[in-house]
Amino acid sequence: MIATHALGYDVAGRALLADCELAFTGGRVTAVLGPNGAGKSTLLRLLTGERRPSHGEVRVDGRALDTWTPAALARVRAVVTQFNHVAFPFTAAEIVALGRAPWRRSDTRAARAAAVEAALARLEVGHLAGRLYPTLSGGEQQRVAIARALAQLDWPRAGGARCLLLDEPSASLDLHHQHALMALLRELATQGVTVVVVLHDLNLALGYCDEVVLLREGRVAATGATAATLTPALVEAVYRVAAEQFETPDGGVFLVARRAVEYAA
Amino acid sequence: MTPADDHLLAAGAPAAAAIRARYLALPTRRMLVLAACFACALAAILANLALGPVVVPLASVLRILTGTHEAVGADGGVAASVVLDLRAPRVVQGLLVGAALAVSGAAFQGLFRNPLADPSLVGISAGAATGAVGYIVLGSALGSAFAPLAAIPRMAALPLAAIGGALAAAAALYRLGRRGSDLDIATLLLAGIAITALCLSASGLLIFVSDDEQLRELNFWSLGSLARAHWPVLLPALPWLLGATAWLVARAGVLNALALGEAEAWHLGYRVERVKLEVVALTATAVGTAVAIAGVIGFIGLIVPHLLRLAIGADNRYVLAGAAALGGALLLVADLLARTLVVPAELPIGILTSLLGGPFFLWLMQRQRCAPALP
Repeated sequence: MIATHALGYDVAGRALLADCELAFTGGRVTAVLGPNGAGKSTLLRLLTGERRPSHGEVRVDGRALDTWTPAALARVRAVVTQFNHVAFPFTAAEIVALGRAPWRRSDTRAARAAAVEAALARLEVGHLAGRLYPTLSGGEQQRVAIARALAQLDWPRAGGARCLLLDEPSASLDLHHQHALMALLRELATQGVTVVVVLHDLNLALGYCDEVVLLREGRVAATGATAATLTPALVEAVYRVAAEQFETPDGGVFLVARRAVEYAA
Repeated sequence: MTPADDHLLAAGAPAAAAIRARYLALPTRRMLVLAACFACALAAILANLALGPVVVPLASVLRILTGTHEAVGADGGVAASVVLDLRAPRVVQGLLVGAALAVSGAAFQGLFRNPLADPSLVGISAGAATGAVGYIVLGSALGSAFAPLAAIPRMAALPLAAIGGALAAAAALYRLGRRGSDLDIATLLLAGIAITALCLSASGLLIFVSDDEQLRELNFWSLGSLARAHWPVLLPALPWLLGATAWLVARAGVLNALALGEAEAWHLGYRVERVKLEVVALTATAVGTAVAIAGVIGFIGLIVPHLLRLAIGADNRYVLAGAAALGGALLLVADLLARTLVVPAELPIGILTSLLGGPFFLWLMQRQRCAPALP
């Protein structure tokens, strides 16, 4: 669904991202991982078309990104960004209804209300519908923002060629909602949606993601099936922590970071 | 059952129904508030037509407006003339200028994502006034240099000069008022102060080289007044005022999306760069024309949208429509006070709105500092 070729992004002569050859396919959840400043958010901004690449290109559904009109693009991909500051007193339901903007020409009032209600309920924020968004807690705002993306994806009717990109969506969520969110991403993938999610928690990636893209200093350090890729050795090389891998009785794998590793200069 | 399920059940059906009822009640409330805004505007129109040094009874006003008024004796003719020739253009001007200022304010605040971004506070009005002053002082000199310029009628050229000044100020503000890709209200207000100071000194220079007659005319711009409302002044400005205001009201949907952020609005399928240019140009046009015919009138663009957001929430589809009605009504009420408080003289209307708006702005700032969640 989304593919990149020789993708790179420079700012003031410095490469924030270089030589990315990636493919994200429908029905799979891909985690984008890496230390601070590795280029995760930059990669996501290039994939959404928010920034134009300095090198290479991004293709969505086989077409170069800059041949899409913004409106057509908005009907096949939704984005959840990291900061969701809103200065005006919109209600949570109104924020979610903004997700229907790409469908405003075809939406009936009832269809819009149904999509908004379904999305609010799925993120367990139905009880916040009438509350003012700026008064919600960080985690509640995050869930409302994700509900907006669901409404934009036309969930639950969405199928086939759609993608959802999320930038550290679990950052302000409590444990329950982190796992509920990852389960939702899996559910979307089974419906054919391409999911790309920037994560910090390696174990959320190990538990829920099909593939990982591991970035280091603006380059792809490794990519592939999650459990096979995220080995303690690679994690140590990329994150500079000594990590141990454990297996759960049901065959799952998780990593425990034990200590920071300092390499001699 | 997990604690999470438990929590869901606790917040379950009855609470959800109550909240849903509140959410569903919002549209009704909005419609009531909007209706009240338009009722206010209508009442203000009638009051302004009827009241003044000569009080024309409401029944006569209605007869005069519908053309069924018969000039009974000398008095009837005077009443009709007062209503149609003196007060009607002033009412139309007040209504449109108020609507333009309030709608521009709401749109500008939406664009800059901050409820304090009022065009009169950030230098757009000052830019427009400088444009107008520049035309009055230098227009004839320029006209003798370029024959085609002299061919444009004065009343048509004045709004254009003011729009030009407003556009220049808006462009400067847009360049200076942002840090990186982020809009920062402190930077924005500081840039606005700098632009206002520059415009004032430019106007000061122009006043320095102007003659006596021009000077009297210039005084009008700094204080604002509807006293110069006559059909010949008003008509060339009407298309600009009406067009820009109506166009802004029609862009409510994209302003809502911009509230989420520029990147988010792009993700929702809007051409953000084009929209930003559009809103800046439309705001400059509306404010520039308003200043050209009524001078600098501050704070309408700050007070009206804020009151509406308090009453009906942030949805710009309602805020912008309501702002058009309430802005017109507020300016008409201010004008009624301006021309009746100190009869036979007249207070400049800009002084009245600033008297009301200054404390309001301070209150707003104070309130924001107390509630950081709603900056």
